[in-house]
Amino acid sequence: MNDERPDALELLAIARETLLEQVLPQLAGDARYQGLMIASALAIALRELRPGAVDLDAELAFLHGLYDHGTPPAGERVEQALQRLEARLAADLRRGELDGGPQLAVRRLLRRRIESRLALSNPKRRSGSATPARGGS
Amino acid sequence: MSSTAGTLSPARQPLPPRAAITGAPAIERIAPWLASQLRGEVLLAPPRRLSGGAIQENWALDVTVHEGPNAGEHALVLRADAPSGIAASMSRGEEFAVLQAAHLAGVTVPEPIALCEDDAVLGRAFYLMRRVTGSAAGHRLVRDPGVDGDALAARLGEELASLHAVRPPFPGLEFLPEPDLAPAHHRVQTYRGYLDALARPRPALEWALRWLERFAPADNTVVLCHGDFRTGNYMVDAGALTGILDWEFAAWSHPDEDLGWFCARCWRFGRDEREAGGIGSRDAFYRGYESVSHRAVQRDAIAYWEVMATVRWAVLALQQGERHCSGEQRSLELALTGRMVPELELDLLEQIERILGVGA
Repeated sequence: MNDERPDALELLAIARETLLEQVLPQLAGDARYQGLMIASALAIALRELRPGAVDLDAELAFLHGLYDHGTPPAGERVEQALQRLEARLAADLRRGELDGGPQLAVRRLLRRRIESRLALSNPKRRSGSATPARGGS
Repeated sequence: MSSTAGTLSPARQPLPPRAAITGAPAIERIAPWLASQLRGEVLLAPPRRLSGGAIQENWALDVTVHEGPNAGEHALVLRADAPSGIAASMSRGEEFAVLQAAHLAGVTVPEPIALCEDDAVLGRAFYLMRRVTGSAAGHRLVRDPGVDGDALAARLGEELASLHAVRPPFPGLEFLPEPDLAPAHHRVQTYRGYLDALARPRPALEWALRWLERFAPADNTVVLCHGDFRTGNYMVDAGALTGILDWEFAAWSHPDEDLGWFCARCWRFGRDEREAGGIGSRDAFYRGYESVSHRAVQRDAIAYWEVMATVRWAVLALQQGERHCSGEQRSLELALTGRMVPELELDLLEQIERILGVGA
């Protein structure tokens, strides 16, 4: 990692601030819409790059709540374990393997995984709140 | 979501290279063909490119016919494939046939005028329809205080019921496949196919699709469905409907699919409390529909198809994100749409939990 200041996060933050405070007020119509989209993309990137924002171990722990640890393939990294179990969950759901099983546990697992992604992409959208529609013609 | 939402297509394949419409002068080449169609000498004002449509190009044409049965001024739209290299879900000739069928059924659409499939005229197929006035911009419409939302919702319900009176087989629409499976099962199969084409599994969507499979309605009725019947795809002028647009996703399907798509939360443009397309109440929309269809709208059936609508939207958003990531079409809007998937997944979870009467 680079140790110069400002670092990547600080640069993104000031870029977004400048966009919102100084550039956007001068834009109208389609340019303004594009500007708002840029601000939105920067906000997601800022949240995602923050240290600890993505906790793969916690995600894996959710999945282990449904599936036993078993014996993971030797040398498997946490990303690989996540992908393997996610693929298994998707396939089990499609085949109906979980139809008669712990429905509440499945829904809780799905909700947790969705909410951890929403915390990055749209933290304003929480359970029970409306989805703001974006753009549109 | 301008021009992006209407692009659900099973397989986007690059089209073979062909002559591009290079602009207004190229459009003017159609004058002799137009004269033969309108049976009179024509004068063509400089064509104007209309906004919207990454897959199709729309041009406003003002035509003066000097003599004969069509003498007078004609405000038209020319619709042709855009040179985007993206395969459309329907050819212009097929779209024209659907427009004709809808027009014949009494649906308020831009009147179809003429189809040209001879590449010698413009370099690609196109058709002409009468230009309707007003705007289709959904985000403005849902905030327009001059619109009587319930009246408009009722009118749209009536229109949809008129369309749904068209049943297979129907002359001219033989190209529309009649599903081998019940419409709901057909959709589940199609969306699973889309998911399989993507790199990463989506357990929440699989969960919703399994629910849709298990609780698919037994009713296998199929009618002519618009396929993208929603706010943003119809024109309104001074509060009144002037034309229903964007027929490229028309299909034989269950009528409740169109009703569910129209009411789905993702098409309310932020006006969540107006459950019919962000413009009016469900009651008004359903009342309008029932007054023409004489078929009672079953609310729980619509709730089922609204789940299907959210799945469709989520799959669409995944595809759009993928279109950006693969480099097929670099676009900030597509990229951000890809990141909307988790909120659609949460919508799905909440929709199904509401139907099941269970909480988190």
